[in-house]
Amino acid sequence: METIHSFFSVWGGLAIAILGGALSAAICCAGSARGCGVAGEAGTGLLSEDPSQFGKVMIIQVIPGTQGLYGFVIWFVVIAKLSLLGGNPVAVNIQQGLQLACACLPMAIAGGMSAPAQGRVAAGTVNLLAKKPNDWFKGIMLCAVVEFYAILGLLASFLMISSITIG
Amino acid sequence: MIVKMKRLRLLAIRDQKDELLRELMLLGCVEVSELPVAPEDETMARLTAADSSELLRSRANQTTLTHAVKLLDRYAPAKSKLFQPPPDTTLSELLDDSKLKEDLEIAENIISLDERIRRISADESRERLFIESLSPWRELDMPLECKGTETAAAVLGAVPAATDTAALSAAANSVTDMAQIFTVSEDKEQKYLLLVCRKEEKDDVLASLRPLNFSTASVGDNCSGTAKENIAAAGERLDRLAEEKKSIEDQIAAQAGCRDELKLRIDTFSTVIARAEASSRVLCTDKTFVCEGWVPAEDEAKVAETLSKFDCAWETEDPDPEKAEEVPIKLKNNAATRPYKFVTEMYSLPSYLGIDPNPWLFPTFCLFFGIMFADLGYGILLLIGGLFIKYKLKSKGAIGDMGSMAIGVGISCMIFGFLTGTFFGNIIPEASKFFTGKEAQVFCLLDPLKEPMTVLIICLGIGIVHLLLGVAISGYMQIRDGHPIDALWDSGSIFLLFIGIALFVLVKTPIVLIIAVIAIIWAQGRGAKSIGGKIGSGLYGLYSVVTGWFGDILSYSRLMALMLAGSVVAQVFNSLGAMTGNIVTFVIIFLIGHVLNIFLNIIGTFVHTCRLEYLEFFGKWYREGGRKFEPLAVNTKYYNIAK
Repeated sequence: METIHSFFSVWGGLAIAILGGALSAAICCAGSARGCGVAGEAGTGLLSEDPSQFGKVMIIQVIPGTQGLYGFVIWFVVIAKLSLLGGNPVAVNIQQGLQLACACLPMAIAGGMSAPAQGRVAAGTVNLLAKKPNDWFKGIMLCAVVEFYAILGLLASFLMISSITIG
Repeated sequence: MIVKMKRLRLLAIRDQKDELLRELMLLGCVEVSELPVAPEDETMARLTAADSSELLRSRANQTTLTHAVKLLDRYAPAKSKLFQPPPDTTLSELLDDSKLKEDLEIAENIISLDERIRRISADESRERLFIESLSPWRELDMPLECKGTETAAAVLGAVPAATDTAALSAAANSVTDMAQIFTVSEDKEQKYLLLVCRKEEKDDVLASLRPLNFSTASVGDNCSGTAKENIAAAGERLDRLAEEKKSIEDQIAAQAGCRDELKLRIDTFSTVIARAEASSRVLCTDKTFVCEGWVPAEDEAKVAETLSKFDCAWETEDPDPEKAEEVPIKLKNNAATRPYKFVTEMYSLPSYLGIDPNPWLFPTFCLFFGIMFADLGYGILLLIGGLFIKYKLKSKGAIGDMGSMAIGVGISCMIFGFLTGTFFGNIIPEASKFFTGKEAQVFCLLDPLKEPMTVLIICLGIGIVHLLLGVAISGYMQIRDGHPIDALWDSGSIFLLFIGIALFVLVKTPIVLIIAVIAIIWAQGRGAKSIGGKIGSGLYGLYSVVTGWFGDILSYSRLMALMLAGSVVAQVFNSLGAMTGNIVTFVIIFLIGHVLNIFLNIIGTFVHTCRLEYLEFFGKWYREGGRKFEPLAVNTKYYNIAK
């Protein structure tokens, strides 16, 4: 019991903080993979009819990929704050670790849930491109509306993480 | 500014119709509209619509030319440089219709050659199928038409690959010992067999083989000689077809020199179609025709001068204010505000009695875009891109407008990037640390990452000013339309509210605020009839005003959100690159990261700038619903008309 307690008080904070950053990257990337997958499936349908649209289809497909990028950004900010990549992590107590992990939540949840939703809009945009090639950009703009909430999640997480002091 | 329009009514000689429409097209400022005919009006009912076969024919011809150009591009791809401005041509060359027939023949020739190529391709696939059907029998040295001798029958057939040939022979021999089965060839699916037996026993032998899935094959009907000979002959035919195809393709490619001429004629047909469309809208008697249309008041003198050359009677009149929705909208803007008509058109053109939003869009759009995309480096890139489109490509139309817009918003991004001390994120401190080990200091008036609260408050403040601007325009429109009292209640009460809030916050006097609240309740409730109704709808109005304004103002927090998001992502890429400790990977990560960031942010910023303009700003004052003024004019796709 004594050893477990001392182990947690030394290493637990760091582990919980890493868990937060890791969840942000993992959930967002998984969401983006689903979103890009849905958009890509719709894209292959169009490409099988008209391969010359490849450039536009690819642009549409990468749009739901940004949440993964944002999740990665938050992961990176956490990791940099912990100086983990240098090999000498700073000392983090349990409270600070929990604070960092909680601060990662907006990004993890907003990113992970908005990416599949945006993927569906992107798939619709592929249909739009197939039927009304001149108006495809309007579909892109609809995708950007979904994007905004992932951006807000990114900001909420980022501002909280940067105002938590550790060490 | 919304250009004042006049309705034009024109009565002229029918023989001069084509010449007159041609002159009006060159003038480019008259829209010929459908003539309204009341069904009970007997005089008008006797008029006939002009012949529209010319229109259909011209459209078909233009499609032919377009198809021919596409075929040329397929068989002889043009070595076009990327980013090339369209070539120049003169008006007389464009309108020269003497060569139209000749060029149409060239186009039809190209299309018929392509049809021959398609027929050859069909023949080729038929030959290939023939070869494929014969190839299992390649080793059979018996002519295919041979069905046996006087007494013996030769039958070709196939069984599934898994069937044992010994079992087949046994089955055949159970009927007669005068039967033999040879295996000609086999592949993954089937074994191909030759059965020889006596003619009179053939049916019995086949019946005995049927349980083993033996099926007779009809090979090479109507052909003589062995399978090998037939395959060789088909191969030769294929070679000949390929040769023929190649020579026809060369014939098409040899026409590549006509491509520019054909493109010019596509544009020529566009002008013919424009005239024919206008012509289909006029009504005729035997000798005269009558038409209606719209002409900008400022161009009336020009139209008068042109029409004076013809034997015609015409009049113009101001549009009926009751029927303002009929009037087409032409917006007159200067070089700075013109590009924003594209933003306006994406929403809806203003109604004829509304106000042109472009002069208001120009400063606010630049401001918002600059705040959200604030980065000195990105701003420079936008500016360069805009200048390139405008002065190197000399693009017109939508792309040209985008270029002008990029110049404006690029400068704005540079200003805000400079104030917030961002140049490709934080590349200057990051790179100086990377190369010299010392972090360079950059001028920075306000660091959004360190003081996000200040940025947020500034953004909301800008939002309030933007919204109040909208309220002021709305008030101006009410005064202009002769409702100054309504303007005072609707717009004045809102201004009073904000003055009241400001006084309450700054000098703690609530009196103006209280007056403003009462004024708003009165203003919102003044439409109701009874006292109770006035109070009820006034209170509800106050509630909607307050919640509406609250939401509207908070919406401007997106200015801060997008500004921060862009710079956070940029900074992360910079530090990722620097972390690798290697100059090559640093540059690669820098390039990829910033290209990605710019691409994502331009779309996001554009959408959210539009949203602030459409939802928050236009919501306060804009009167939409106009139809675009589309005059009969020379419009080209491939060529630029040199003046």
